[in-house]
Amino acid sequence: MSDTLITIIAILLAAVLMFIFPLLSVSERSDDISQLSVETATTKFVDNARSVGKITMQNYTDLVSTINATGNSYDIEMEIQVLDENIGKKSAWTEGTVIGENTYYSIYTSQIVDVLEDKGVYVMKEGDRFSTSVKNTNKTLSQAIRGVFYSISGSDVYTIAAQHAGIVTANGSY
Amino acid sequence: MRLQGLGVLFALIVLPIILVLTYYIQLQVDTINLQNQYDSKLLKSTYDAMSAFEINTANEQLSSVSDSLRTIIEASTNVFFSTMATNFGISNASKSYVEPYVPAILYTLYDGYYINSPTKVPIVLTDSEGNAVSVGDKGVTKEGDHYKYVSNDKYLSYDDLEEQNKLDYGQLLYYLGNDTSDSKYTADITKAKFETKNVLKTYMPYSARYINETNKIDVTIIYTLDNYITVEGTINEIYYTKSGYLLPYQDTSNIELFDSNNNKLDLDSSNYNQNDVQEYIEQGNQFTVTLPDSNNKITIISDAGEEKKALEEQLIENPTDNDIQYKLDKMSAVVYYTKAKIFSDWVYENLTDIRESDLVEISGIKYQSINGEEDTTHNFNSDMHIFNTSENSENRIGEFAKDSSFYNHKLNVIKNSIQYNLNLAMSTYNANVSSIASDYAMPVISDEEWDKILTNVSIVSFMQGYSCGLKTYNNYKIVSSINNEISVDKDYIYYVKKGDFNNQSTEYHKIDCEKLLNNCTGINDEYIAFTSKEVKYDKIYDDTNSKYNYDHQNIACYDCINDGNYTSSDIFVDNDGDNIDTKKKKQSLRTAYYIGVAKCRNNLYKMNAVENSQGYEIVTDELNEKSIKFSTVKALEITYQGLIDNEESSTALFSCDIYDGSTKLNTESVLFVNNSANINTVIINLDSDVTGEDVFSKLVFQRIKSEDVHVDITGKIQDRIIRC
Repeated sequence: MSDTLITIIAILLAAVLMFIFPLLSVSERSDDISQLSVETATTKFVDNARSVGKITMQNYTDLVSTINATGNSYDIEMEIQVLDENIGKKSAWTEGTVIGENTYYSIYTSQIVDVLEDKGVYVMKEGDRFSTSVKNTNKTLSQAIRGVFYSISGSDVYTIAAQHAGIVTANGSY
Repeated sequence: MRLQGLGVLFALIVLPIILVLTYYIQLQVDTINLQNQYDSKLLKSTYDAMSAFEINTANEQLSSVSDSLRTIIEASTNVFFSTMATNFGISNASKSYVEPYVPAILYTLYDGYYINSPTKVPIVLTDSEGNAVSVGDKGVTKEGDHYKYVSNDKYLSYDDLEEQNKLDYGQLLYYLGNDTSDSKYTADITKAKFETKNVLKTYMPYSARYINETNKIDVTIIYTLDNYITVEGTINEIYYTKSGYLLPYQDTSNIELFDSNNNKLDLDSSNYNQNDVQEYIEQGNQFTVTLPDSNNKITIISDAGEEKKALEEQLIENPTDNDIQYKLDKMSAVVYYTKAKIFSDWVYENLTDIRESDLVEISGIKYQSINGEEDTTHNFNSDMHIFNTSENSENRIGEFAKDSSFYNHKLNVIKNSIQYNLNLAMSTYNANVSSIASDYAMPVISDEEWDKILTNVSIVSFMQGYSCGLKTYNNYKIVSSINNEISVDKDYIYYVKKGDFNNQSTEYHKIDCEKLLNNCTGINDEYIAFTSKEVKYDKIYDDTNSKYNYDHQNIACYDCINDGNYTSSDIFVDNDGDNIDTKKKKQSLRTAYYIGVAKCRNNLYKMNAVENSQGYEIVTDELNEKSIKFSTVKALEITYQGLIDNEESSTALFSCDIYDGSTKLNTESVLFVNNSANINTVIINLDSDVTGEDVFSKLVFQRIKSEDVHVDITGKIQDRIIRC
């Protein structure tokens, strides 16, 4: 009786040790590699946009296809904080950008994508801020396996995420 | 083997592999993160450097010396290293720690570029206040074959020095090269101790030399980021120095000029040069330029009736008077197009034979120094005519098309020059900073990035050698500027209706903003233009009263300026659907565009401009040996120096005899000119009535030697004297 029980436990342990653990580990590494790839792609996308002052449809689809090649689905969120040049300017200032007086208004993903689909280019100007964050929306294999043992509640659960942001350094043009 | 044994064996094999893999991938992720951080630090530093450059140019009265931007660039590199050091978490006092990791910083300016890179320089001895110490200063003593610097009040006199050291007197003292005690100094630079320091190298213009032997052309052309060029050199044995804006038409006859009596001027036979015509217009005389346009001609009339200076003074008194501003704008625009036409006609008359293959090294030998194997360098071996631009203008007047031979050639010249010198700077860096550098090669800059560098004032910073996780960091960043005083980008000139200028409740727009077109009421609308820098930085022109040059009150359009993703209207082309009103509105905007661009370019500070001598031609500097025919000479400018003669003699200083064959017709004498060691200039106007095949002039020097005199001028002009 006790032998049988121990054998069953041993088989279960062996199954966990020989199949599930390696599978979990390998899938986690796969996520790490996806993470690496997503992070590189996001940084490249943002840095390129802010150094030339524009987001192009081609760069955007490059980003989408690069991150989708990892086999997961992603949610890309972009935000442009547009610098409002119309600050309350006073004649005693020697420069237009005075600390504390810069105001920004924001443009978000759907608005940007609309323009991209329409014109192919979204133009920004020097002084705007551009940020992009990418998160996976599907359950990756490692998340699924981990879910068997323990579950994390909430909808905003992701393992692959990258974000990059910065000030736009050039005025874009068509 | 039992199942448990297999399990243990499997775990023993797989676990270490997984652990190593985890660790390795984590390292890779860290490396990428670190690299991103460094990238952003480098970009931030470069951006700060550019901001410093912009602010400094905005408040600087620049001189015409091409090196006058040096202090501004040095301040900018200083800011670069300070920001870099702060970003790396060390105080900017220890920024020398990051300096060795920056092999080069490139500043591409309007007509040339600077490179800041580490170079070996001798270490100069300085006193406690940081002043350089020379031989003969207080406390310097001679000891054996070297000098010592001790704190006493004694001076080393010239006579105390041995014969072989007499030449050292007054020379700077350097640390002695092989001495470690730091107490021995030398005046001989070859024995000095060197250190590696980031140094701003000499200003290099975007220039190229062309020799075409069949057409007797040997000229150096300095290009700029736009179509302004400077030409220096000999064409058919006549030496020319000219600069101006080149219009992209071989045949500029479609640009017409009219004087105050509305007489059309033919510049070939009428006798204006660039300076004369500018003076004439800026005196307030009426002058008209008509430009070709798709439907009608565009006419710009300068009819201020007052001198430019008087207008400017009135504007200072009454800054809200937009009519004065508009008069000044039109005056500048007319000056721009007239001068550009005179200059372009001259270029197309004299330089059209130059081919790309005529390009030579500055030393005159055939071009080869950067003929590398790489595709990135251009070989300049085609037979393309550089100034053959008949088919190549854009629909905007004055702009070269991007596929024109002139534009492409210009870009290749600038690009090759920059690449060559950057490579050189980096090789020096490799040789000198070997402790840090693994072999550093210049990264290949993509075409898109070159386009950015070569259309705007830019800073390109390179950084390498910093340890970055699994690899060594090696990258560069480019930041371009449009808000500076030394260049104008036609796309960043903003327009506002004349009546609304500086009205706080109206908007300013880009020229192709649909709102601007919609708000236009017709052909008679007038617009005032200003550049983006005038909004971003105010320029102080009067310190005492804190008055500002650009105090623009208008607000930025939320479509075209703040956002940039606006509906643009092509004002340069009339569409089929356009009704007559729209066509008139477009023409009104085109006029605004041509006035705006011309005014901004004309008012631009130019470093390589040939000040006060545009259009001057040196015929010879040996006038006493060579006679010059009167058909080509109308005035002589004599420059002399070093005349020490205190008596006011009745003997002529020199005279200019005019001969017809062997008969002396006339003598023009210069009796007394200021006596001093300074450079003096006198102008002898030759009698324009005396002309003929055998008429020539001969200079006779009486009280000064002919070798002390440099004769500088004549003009190839029939009946008008050139003053230069």
